[in-house]
Amino acid sequence: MAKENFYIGYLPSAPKPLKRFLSRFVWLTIPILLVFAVSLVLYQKDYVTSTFEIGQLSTIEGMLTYEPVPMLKVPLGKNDQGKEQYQSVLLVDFGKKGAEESLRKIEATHGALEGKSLTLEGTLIYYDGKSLLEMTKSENAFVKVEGGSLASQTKIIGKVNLRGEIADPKCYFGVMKPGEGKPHRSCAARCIAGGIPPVFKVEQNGTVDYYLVKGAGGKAIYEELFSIIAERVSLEGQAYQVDDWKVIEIDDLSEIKRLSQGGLPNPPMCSF
Amino acid sequence: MSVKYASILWNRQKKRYDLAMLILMVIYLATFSAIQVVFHPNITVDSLIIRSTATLSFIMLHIILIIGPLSRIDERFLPLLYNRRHLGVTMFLVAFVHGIFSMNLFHNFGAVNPLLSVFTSNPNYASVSQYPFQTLGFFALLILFLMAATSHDFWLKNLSPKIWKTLHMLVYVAYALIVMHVVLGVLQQETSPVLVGLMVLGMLMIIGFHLWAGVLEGRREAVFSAKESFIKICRVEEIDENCAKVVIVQEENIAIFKYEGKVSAINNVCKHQNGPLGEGKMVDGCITCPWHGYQYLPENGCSPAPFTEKVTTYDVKVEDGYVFVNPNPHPEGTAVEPATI
Ligand code: HEM
Ligand code: FES
Repeated sequence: MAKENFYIGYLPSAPKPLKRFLSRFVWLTIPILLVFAVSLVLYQKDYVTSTFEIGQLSTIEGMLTYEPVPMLKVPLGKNDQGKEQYQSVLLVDFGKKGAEESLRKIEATHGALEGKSLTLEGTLIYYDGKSLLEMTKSENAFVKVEGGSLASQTKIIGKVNLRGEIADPKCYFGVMKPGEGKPHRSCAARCIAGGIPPVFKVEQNGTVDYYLVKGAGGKAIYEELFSIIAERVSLEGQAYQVDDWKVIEIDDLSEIKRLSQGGLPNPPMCSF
Repeated sequence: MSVKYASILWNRQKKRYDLAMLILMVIYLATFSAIQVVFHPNITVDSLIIRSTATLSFIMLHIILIIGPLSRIDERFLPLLYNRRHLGVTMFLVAFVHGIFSMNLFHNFGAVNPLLSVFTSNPNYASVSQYPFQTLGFFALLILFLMAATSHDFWLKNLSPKIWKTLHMLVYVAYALIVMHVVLGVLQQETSPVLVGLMVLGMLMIIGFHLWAGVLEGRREAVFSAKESFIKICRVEEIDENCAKVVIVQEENIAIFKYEGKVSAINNVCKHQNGPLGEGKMVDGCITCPWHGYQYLPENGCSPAPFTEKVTTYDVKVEDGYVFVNPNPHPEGTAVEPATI
């Protein structure tokens, strides 16, 4: 009689030879799954050593400045020429939001903060010589404010044409991995639209350099960059350096050029 | 084929099926995570969850899609088909974890509703390399959700098998969406040819097994064109006892069963999910569908009481050791005298 091993699912048990066949099939899938797990992991890119000290609050004291972007400048002492050196700590809020709003709220109760020595509590983010403080508790990050004086050094670099990718510094320098490129694009766009200052990551001749991005005349730009965030682009503008951060002021947003990627067709540049 | 719908009828076979599935899933997730942590210690917990669930559910989808053709190529795979809905629902849940974690990480805590953000955070819909790939994942997840939510036989009955089947054919659309989700998303950054190769391998397997099963199917079903009312099909001995021969005559898909010295012909298409009744078997005097075990009486095409499914029946006769069938169908559930050998 044919079909001796006909399977009927609502009976409590399947015929023996069928059971044997199926359990062999299940055993066979194990090595296949292992091969997939191993190769999927081993053939992805490594994750960078950037750090977000999640769950661990630190207090940072430094001179507050809003220019070019909100940051605390922690004095490191004087250099050979007797000029004050600073380590800048970019300020960002909890979530995908810039620090401006919370700082203004603190000012509403404690008076103007610009140029004063401010102590904030938050979560540190750092990588590649740059650091940020997430004001995890927003305006409640405030610890104290004292008098102080800021002696920033500004150096003009001049007109530059740079190639790289606009990243949101919060994710790039620690919160997410990967915190750049296509998979992360939407998140970077949300962060920058939320007021986190855009950073241009320039990769040229094997070295990596970072620029804060501003519009003509030092105007803050966020959503204007929406359609090119996390893409390879070239930017043209005036560059200068304030203490340990370089800045590029883009003269003309419509001059931003997309650089072709991986041979896939490029769309015409979206108008801003 | 229940008239009352129990949530799910559990028995030992189903439990073993689910247990095997869960163990395989745990083996995958544990291996993936362990190797990640050893070779990429800098990975974040979020990325680990997003990547492990994404790849696991994608692999599960491949298995789901391959089971269909596999069980047509070799009947011994049929038990995997029988309980495939468990695999489908579980796959949806795993993909859901991936989707929710991605939405939370990439879109939450911003100024815009996360769902809206999926569609608006990247405006490059006209681009290929910059296309907002997450929207493709979103629609795939939506399809998987609809399928998981309607997987129970209650919905099969209430949506009508035709609509249900159409809905569940969308799994191929979901698969295509996920392939594009991966190609336009993570593969724009992770450029190793091994990763592309693995995905192409998966695609070739799915297409290959479907083609293979299709060719076998074509060979199995003899096609006749009819001029007279009764058509000579084959010798009686060519049909195994308690089994059927499937023929297509005048576009009628007919299963001719031989049992207890008799021959009967009913429509080959199961009322449940269009399973091939002719690849089933007579069990306790009933034709039993190989896919999920729905049963029909050979002499009238009706499911035994209390069930109510009915298929069309056909006149048969046996002369000089040959089986003849009349391809003009009787209305569903019409009693037809079996031919005696
Ligand atoms: C709301 C729905 C979804 C969203 C928002 C979403 C988002 C994402 C994101 C952001 C990535 C890149 C993550 C990374 O850098 O690794 C990704 C990758 C991926 N997604 Fe989805 N996805 C969704 C639905 C799905 C569904 C339904 C599947 C089905 C299996 C899926 C499968 C994958 C796969 C296989 C990858 C590549 C592996 C990885 O990078 O994690 N996604 N998805
Ligand atoms: S198709 Fe499900 S029992 Fe026939």
